[in-house]
Amino acid sequence: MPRPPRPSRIARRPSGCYRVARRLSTPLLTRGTKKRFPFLFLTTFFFRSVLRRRFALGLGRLAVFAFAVFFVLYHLCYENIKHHTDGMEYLSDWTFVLLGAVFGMFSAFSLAPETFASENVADLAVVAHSVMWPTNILSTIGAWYSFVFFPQCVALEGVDNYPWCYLEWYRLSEHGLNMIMLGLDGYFGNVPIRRGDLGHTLVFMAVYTVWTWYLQFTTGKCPYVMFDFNAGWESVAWFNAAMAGVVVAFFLVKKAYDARDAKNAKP
Amino acid sequence: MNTMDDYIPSDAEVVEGASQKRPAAILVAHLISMVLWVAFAMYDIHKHAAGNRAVSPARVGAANGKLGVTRYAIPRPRSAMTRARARVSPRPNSARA
Repeated sequence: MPRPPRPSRIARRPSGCYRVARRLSTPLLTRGTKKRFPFLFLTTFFFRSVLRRRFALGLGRLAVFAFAVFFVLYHLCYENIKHHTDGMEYLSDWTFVLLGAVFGMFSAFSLAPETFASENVADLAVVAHSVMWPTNILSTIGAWYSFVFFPQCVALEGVDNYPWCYLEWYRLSEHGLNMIMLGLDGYFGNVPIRRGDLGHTLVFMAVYTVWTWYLQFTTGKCPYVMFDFNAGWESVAWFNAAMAGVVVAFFLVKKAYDARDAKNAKP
Repeated sequence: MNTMDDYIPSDAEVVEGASQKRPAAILVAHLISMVLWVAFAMYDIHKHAAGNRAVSPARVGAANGKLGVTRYAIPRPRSAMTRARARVSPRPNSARA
């Protein structure tokens, strides 16, 4: 009579050696240990709670949100009132404010998931996230293109101090730090980019364009000289190139996010 | 002009700039471009509205990885044996469960 198949090693009860090894490798935080070494207990507690990636991600998002609030209050409000700097004239100002709002929502979902567990707010956050990525890319690429090929310090700040007008802390925040923060959130976060949100990105750009038209008609100055009506037919080409650029940026980001999600979905 | 200060346009400059004539053909071209892009945006939103899967609030807040928890937060050590056992009989609070 053939012998019944031996149960696999996995199904068998762990051997004595394994049980001993497991006991030794388990943190020995018994009551006595906690009493004798409270610092050790606190350290372990600290790492067990703080190193949860969700919590850490939430803290990072909260830090970005706090910086965005500082940016709005100090640069867009205080400096603008005092020195009449660019308020909400430029696309990068809009995209940075949007970035702050999105990170505020994200930090709430990470740190207090039970409080903010609303599907409608989650959907709004995902749409805003999809709008935020390509528009931030456009404003950043546009700024560095301008820095290299199309310097306009006088138009931007009224002073000819190239290249320093591009290297102000707020411009570097809007055209450099924003991409770092977005990249980190894309790497550590889990928010998807959905194909259906491309249209919202274009609507956002259209609303900003109407704002620039309003500025042109009321102040006579367009925030971007290349989009000025008086620049001729070139301005039409620039406008369409900007909209097409946003579309390209959206699909590039979507491709990167899809690759990330596919990698995470592997067992 | 003091180079430390930002440029503030005078009222006269603002009035002059606002009242200057702009080429009508360029304005119309901008307007047509805008209408076409917005129409495409609306069409695209409508077309893909059904395909947009709802995202759960848990996913929006979650970090990458197994339930967003590092191995440091898992109470048992993660050896090859514990991983293998988890595949056979997942614990209730297991990351894979």
